[in-house]
Amino acid sequence: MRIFNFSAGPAVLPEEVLRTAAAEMLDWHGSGMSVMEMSHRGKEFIAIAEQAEADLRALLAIPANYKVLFLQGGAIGENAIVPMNLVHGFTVADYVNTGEWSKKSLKEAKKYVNVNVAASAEDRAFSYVPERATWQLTPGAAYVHICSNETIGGVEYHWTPDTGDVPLVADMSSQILSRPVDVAKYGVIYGGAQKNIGPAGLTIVVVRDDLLDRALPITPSAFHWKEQAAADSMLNTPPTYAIYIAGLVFRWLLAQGGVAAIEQRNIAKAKLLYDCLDASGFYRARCGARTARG
Amino acid sequence: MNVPFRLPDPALDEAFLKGAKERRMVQLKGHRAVGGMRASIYNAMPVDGVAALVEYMQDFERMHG
Repeated sequence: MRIFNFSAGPAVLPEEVLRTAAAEMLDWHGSGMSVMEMSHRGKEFIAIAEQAEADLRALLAIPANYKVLFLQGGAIGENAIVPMNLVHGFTVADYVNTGEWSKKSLKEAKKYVNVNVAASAEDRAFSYVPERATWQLTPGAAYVHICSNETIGGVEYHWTPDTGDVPLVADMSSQILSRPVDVAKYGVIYGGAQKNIGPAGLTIVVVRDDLLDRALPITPSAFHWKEQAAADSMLNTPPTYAIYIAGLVFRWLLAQGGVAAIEQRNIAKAKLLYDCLDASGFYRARCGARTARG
Repeated sequence: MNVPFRLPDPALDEAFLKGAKERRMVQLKGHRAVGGMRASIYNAMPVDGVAALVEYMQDFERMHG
């Protein structure tokens, strides 16, 4: 019997996905192989990766001028990879600090670029998202970075900040695919897969193609978005099995009715739990701002 | 997606986690940076799982509140 697993990640996967993976473990679709044993350049795995990308594009309605990359290194890796890929020719990047993950991101970015903390919620123990009107953005910054859902503090953006001509970069590790998102309002969306997508080991990067010419010369090839985009994310061996499982999750999401349908379920779950916390004099929710709960 | 919360006394945390496990609910311990509890309710967590957690939380409060 399965257990209810409330882990922040690696986290629960849909039972149907695990059953399909179990059924296909020894012999994927008559290939006589497990997906784990396939060459990433063979036609079987290429088909799996292409389908996964197509399904992700459909789920998030990703415009054609955005590249989808299946990489490694997780969101902590991206904390360095993001500035390396975006700051060539720029001196400053803006970061909004809403919690532990924002702090990690901006600390790492300081190795590669001057960081301006445009707004911070630290004054109230990271229990809210600072309103856009309070942000002190830098004209001509390389990008504005947010963490759209703080996995530790539980603070979530329910709106998309307008950053004008400066590209918005979002760590969506624990929020991606939980609800619809207007990808066109972002320059880059990235996330580790092990929270709301699939197994650890896969990092998803969605990047607008006009931002691919801003990489520092020191950027390692495996983490160089333009080089990886040109190689269909296969410049190095991709995390093949994690991509396969993520693909099964995408199929499951489409069968549920897509992200608009799953959003309704997620709202219902959050309401159940927060109603319980708010009605109780015993428990106390960490995220005080109702508008930032998710 | 992630719902961190606290009990009135951290001394109750262990009993809360133990009772949850007896009802087949696990990994509710908060991140070491902030303590307390955390329920992550990602896409794959069914509504039934959250309902079971809420029922347990209310029972726990009646016993310890």
